[in-house]
Amino acid sequence: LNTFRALLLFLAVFCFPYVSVAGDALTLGIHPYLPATELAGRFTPLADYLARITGRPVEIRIAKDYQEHIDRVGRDEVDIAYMGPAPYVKLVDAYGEKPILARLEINGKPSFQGVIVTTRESPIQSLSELAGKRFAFGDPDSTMSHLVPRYMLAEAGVGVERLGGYEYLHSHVNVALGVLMGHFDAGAVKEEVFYEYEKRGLRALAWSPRISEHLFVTSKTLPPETVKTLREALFSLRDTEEGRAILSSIKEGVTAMVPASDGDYDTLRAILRALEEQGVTP
Amino acid sequence: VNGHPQVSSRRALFSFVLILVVFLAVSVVVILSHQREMLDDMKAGARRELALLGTLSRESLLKLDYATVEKFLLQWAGEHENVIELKAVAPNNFVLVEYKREAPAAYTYRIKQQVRYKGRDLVTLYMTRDLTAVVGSLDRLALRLIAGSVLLTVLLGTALWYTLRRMALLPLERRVEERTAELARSNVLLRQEIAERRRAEESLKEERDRAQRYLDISGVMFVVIGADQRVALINRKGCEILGYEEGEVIGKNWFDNFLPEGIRAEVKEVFERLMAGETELVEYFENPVLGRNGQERVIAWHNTLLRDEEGNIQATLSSGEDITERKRAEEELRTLFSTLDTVVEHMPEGVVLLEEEGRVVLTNPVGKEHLSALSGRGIGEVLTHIGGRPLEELLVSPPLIAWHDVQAGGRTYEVAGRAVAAGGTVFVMRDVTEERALKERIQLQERLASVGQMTAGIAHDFNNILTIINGYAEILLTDMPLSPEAKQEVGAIFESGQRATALIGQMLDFSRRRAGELEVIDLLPFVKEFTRFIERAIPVNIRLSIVFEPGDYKVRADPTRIQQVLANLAVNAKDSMPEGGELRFGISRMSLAPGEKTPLPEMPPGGWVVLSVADTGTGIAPEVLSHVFEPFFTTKGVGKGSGLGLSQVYGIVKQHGGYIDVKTSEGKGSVFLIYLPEAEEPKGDPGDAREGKGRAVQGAHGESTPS
Repeated sequence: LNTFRALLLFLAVFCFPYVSVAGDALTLGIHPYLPATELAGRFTPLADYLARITGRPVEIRIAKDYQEHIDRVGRDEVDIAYMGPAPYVKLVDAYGEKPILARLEINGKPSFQGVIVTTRESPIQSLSELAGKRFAFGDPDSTMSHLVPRYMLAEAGVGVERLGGYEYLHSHVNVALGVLMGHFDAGAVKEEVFYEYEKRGLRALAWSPRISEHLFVTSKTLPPETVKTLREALFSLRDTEEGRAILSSIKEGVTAMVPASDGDYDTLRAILRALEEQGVTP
Repeated sequence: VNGHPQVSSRRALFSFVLILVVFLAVSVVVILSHQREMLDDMKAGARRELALLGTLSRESLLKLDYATVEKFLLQWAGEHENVIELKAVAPNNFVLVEYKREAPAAYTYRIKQQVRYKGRDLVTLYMTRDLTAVVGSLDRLALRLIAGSVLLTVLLGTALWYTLRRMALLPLERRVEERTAELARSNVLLRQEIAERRRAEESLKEERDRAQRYLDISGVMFVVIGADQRVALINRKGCEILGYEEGEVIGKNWFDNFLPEGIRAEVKEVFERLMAGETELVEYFENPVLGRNGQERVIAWHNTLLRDEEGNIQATLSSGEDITERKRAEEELRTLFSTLDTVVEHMPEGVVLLEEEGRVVLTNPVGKEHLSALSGRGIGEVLTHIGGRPLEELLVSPPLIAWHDVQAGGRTYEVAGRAVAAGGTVFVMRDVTEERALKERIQLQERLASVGQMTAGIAHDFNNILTIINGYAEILLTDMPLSPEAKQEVGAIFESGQRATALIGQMLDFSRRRAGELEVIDLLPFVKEFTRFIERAIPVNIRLSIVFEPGDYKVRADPTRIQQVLANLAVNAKDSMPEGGELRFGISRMSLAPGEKTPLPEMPPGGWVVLSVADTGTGIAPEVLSHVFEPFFTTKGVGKGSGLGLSQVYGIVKQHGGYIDVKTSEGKGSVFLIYLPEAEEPKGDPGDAREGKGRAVQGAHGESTPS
């Protein structure tokens, strides 16, 4: 009898992973905002964690481009999806709401902000004075270095057509340096970049509304109890040393995953809609 | 005739060495210029690198990719260890990149590169490279090459020189030597002939000039005076002394023209008698002469007579030395010596001069006295120690001050010694015994005065507070219906208040703020009365006595205060004799004339009554002695004494215009001496009133010895 029990224990310990592989795998979809190997490295600890919690293997799927990622999430082809705020708004517009699992909290804040900057010495004191001036945007797809600031400029009555000229510099840091170098009168950057370059001479001209952070959504086809398990698993990441390691593996500064609702993205939605009316689409 | 063969060989060697030195110098210049070229190459390389960085930066800047420029330049600078600074500055002075490496560099090279595109400034790059290592290794290389060149030159030169000498110079030298010897022989013969002829001519001329030269170069004047009193000859020095040309003197009457009027007649007479053969010639005398401007000069004369072939006196020949300056110097020296002598003799400090071997050669009166006190030595004796200290030690000044303190015979001297340039040493000594004692007393007085002032302030304020405490405690005790317990407690407050008031009283006594009623009293009956009073309070193993001479001891005093003084001193005396002993009171009188030495330096002359309280107790330790009159200073255990007793005594004595002194010997006992000014006697001669002249000792405890 003892021999039989020992054998059972052996099977329980060593055969468990294989048993779980036997179940249907969950997919974790990610948009290609970094090279694929880098993304796989960042999200593997999370995938392994979710696999252990759900008892099902979790596979990482990296989309070919942003649009494909939105379409696959919309068609419920991935079970768990990591999304930026603007793609999420697009997703809901095109495919309707998806259950939200959680959104990121970075350095204690579940939302982020952009800044329109100029130099400390510049005579410009408000957005309306930017008419006829040179302006630096980051990437055309970037929320904080293009879309939101563009909306802010329009709201202030300075559409891009009234600017003296503008360029896309493809990174927040380039925008900060371009303004400091004097090649541009003003530019748009995210808040961390502003804080980093503030000491070298940047000055905030206007702060954007706060935009809700990146989020995880799930497929509509996943059973509600699995959704519940996944939410709890994500929310409890902040509580353990291991969980905090998983969070910071995704991106440095991620401190937690917190609950979110579709309403949290209304601000961005309104901004994108306004931009769309002006003919600007991300 | 060419030079000696050795000379020519030396000249050849010199030229040869010169060529080698020039060769060496050229090599060194070549090496150094190469070193400079290599360094320039390094610098050009650095400039090319910076130009390349500029090109790369321009590409990225044109694409508006500033971040890449920043990242690239920082990384590049970080990877190149000899880059100690790299900066990229935009035309608007924004510093896009600033890299600085903390490295000490002795030799740096800073370059600048402007990055432009179509005439527009994009950015300016600054780079500082550390070339210390490069320059260092180039220097070492150059040094080694130079050392090599020197070695090579020396070796090559030596080898070449030996070859040249053997092949060419030696045979040549031999031939020159032979010819030179031949020539030299004939030369010598010729020279001898010429020399002989010249010598004959010269000796003639010399003979002629010598006499005149002797006269002219002589440091003394020569005068020949003929029998007609006219000057027949005078040399150059003579003219100089008189201030005339030779022509102005020759033929003039010596006595009328060149002697001062005062001695003219007398000297003339002597001369006339000499010429007449009536008197002997004085070989040496000192006489003044009269110069051109009427100035007189003293001349020391030596004289002789000139005679003709028949022995008739024709003239006098005199040589004279001008001793005017010497005379004056001698006079000045004499005056100086006498002044110095007066100064040293009358100096209040002792001065002692020693020879190199330490023998005393000179002292002034004070010095003689001090020297005898300090070492027992006098003039002519060898001195090795002063006051027991070796002379060498005293020759070096102690730190910060010039004088050494030396003790001898209970007196303190300050001694300083200095080596004299001419050899030997001078010692200066001062007796500072009294000066020191006075200084110490003054310090003590000042300290007590300042403590007194402070004590007075405190005591006054406390007294006011105590008046309130005591007053209300008394009102509580007398006017309020209190329970027996409360009465006892308030009573305790009242008692403590009273004790505090007594203490404050003592403090006020010390600080001299309280002046009592002074009346003329005779201290003798007063002290007698006091001893009778305390007899019972003193333990039987302490013998009590009074020492006095019968008479009046009148002082102006407040009897209660004086009683307080005696009581405090008696208590202290008793406390210092726990094993028993003797307590002696003394009364005497003292009359001090002005200028007479007073027992205390600050005491004025006049009549004084001296009250003394002596014990045979433990005495007072020297370190305690200067503090005994300070308030709250006590050597008694905590709670045994207030530390105010002697302060009170001091204050009361001062109130009476008196002085207090204490003499003590540890283990043997102490004497407190109180000097009170004698009250002016309205009566006539006080001497008649004296009861007697004997000393009386009254044993207060009777004749029997205490057991």
